[in-house]
Amino acid sequence: MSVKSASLKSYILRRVLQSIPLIFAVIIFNFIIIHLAPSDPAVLLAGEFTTPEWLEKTRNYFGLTKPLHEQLTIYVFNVVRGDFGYSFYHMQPVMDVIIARVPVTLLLMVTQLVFASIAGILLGAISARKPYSFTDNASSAVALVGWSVPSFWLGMMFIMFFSLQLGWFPVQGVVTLREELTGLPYVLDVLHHLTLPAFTLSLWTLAIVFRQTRASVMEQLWQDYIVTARSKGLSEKTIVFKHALKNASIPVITVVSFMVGWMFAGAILVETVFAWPGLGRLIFEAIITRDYPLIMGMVIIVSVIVIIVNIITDIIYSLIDPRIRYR
Amino acid sequence: MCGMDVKGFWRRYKRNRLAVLGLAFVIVIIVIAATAPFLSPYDPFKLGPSFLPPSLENHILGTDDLGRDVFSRILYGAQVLMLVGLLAATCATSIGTVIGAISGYCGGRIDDLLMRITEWVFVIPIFLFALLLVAVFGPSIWNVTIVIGLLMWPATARLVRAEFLSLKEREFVEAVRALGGSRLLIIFGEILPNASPLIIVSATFTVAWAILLETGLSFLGLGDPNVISWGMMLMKAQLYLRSAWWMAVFPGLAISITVLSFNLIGDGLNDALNPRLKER
Repeated sequence: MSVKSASLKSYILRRVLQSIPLIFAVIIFNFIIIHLAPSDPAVLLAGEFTTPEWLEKTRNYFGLTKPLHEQLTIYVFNVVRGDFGYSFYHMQPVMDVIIARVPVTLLLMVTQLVFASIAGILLGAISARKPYSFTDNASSAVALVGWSVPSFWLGMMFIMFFSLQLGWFPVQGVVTLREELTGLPYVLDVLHHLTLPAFTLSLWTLAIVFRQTRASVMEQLWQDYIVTARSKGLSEKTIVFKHALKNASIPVITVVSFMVGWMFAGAILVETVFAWPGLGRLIFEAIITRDYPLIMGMVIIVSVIVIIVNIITDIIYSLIDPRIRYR
Repeated sequence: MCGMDVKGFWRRYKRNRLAVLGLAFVIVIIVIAATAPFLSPYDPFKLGPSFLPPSLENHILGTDDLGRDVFSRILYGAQVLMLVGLLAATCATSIGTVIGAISGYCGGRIDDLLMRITEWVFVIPIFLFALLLVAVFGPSIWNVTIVIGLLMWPATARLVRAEFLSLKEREFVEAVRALGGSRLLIIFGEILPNASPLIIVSATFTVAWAILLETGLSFLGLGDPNVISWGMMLMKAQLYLRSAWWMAVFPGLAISITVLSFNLIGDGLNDALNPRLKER
């Protein structure tokens, strides 16, 4: 056991070390953009919503008069320390502006992911058991729509129908502003606001999880061990949900982890529609005010989050699947 | 195989009615894009009475906040969408194919390096990178197309690599190698044609993704202000959800139908190419 946990530790360490070049690549990519852009690099580092004095200050801070390789060192050094510059529009360091919004976005993303995973895996397994049944056809149709319809438009339609027409859900925001709620009523109020955006976002994730689960469970159902399980007289339910699903889960986790970047994209768009005050809303404002340091900071931070999620997924596999050796 | 029997393929494709429907829709949309100036009842930029609801007499899909005809704007919007979608997907598919082909055929260090880069681009949040690039370099349709084309290739590269890995061991490749065929000839002249059905499937899905990416960018205000795009129409519509539902409903339906059609074609091609999966 101790040998195993030691090799697991070194595996984790190696995965973390392997991702460092990627993080550097992302930072250097940003640096290259700053210098390839048609406008003054100082504007890219300070944003367009600024004053001449502040531009001058930025120029000195990032050493823009020095040779390029020294500038790169300064830039990389600053970013690694968590200094992405200052958002003149928000009057705050970029890091602080972004970190303040991350929890609200994560609340939305985790909620939709949990719902979509449970529903997608259940429907996928049921559909794989009886392909072309009513459940399968209905779920496949929903998945196809969730896969094709832009989430931000779906959100608009839901607002028009469920909020404006039926009045079931609030139109936007994360809490009711007029009331000062605490305790349970506060939590319920947030959940009430969360339902519609999370559901909108989850349809796309659900489509991916469903399609992948259905395909992988169907593939598993042809394997020898399932035939053996059947011949042992195990019930079909046990076979699908215990045996096949367990082995089918690995490709499903892979697909979901690869899609985390796209989930952020979906969240950005859906947040814009529902005025959900997370990263999406922030980036929308940043585009309007041409707050480049904020956009770049967000690219780096979201990239790092996505990379971390991928490392965690890899570690989860190595725990689920005994065949994976910690190479 | 290279001289794949087209008839048999079409027979299998035809069995999937939804895929046929998707193909029909795409043809209709391309025809609309090509003939928008003739089909449009109004000049899409002409101002008039604003917020007219849809009516059969004049503006069948109503008018927007500046009084422009929504129907004509949707017809013109098809042009930009098709242009960006098809060009970006062609670009992404070409890059992905070349990288996947070299990686799969050569193997070894080249494969390791190329696949590491592919994995990187695959993992990074592409939408945010696209957003940053378009914000910095300006939102012209060409910039949007190039950015999407340069970022969307990794999925294709992985598929093509896997296909090359299995095809390069086949006898016909051995034969050409034994006859002294050059590497380039083997990769692009022999293996590529055999991998092409798979590449076409992948390209179809890439078009759908490219369209979603383009509409997402223009929805956030990063569309080319000089052209009509469905994403930008939706951005405007968001402000008038209470009063002018038609501004939101129709452009969104147009996007959804287009993306759905490409996905249906992709699914249909996939099933037709892998008949075994279907019969199980």
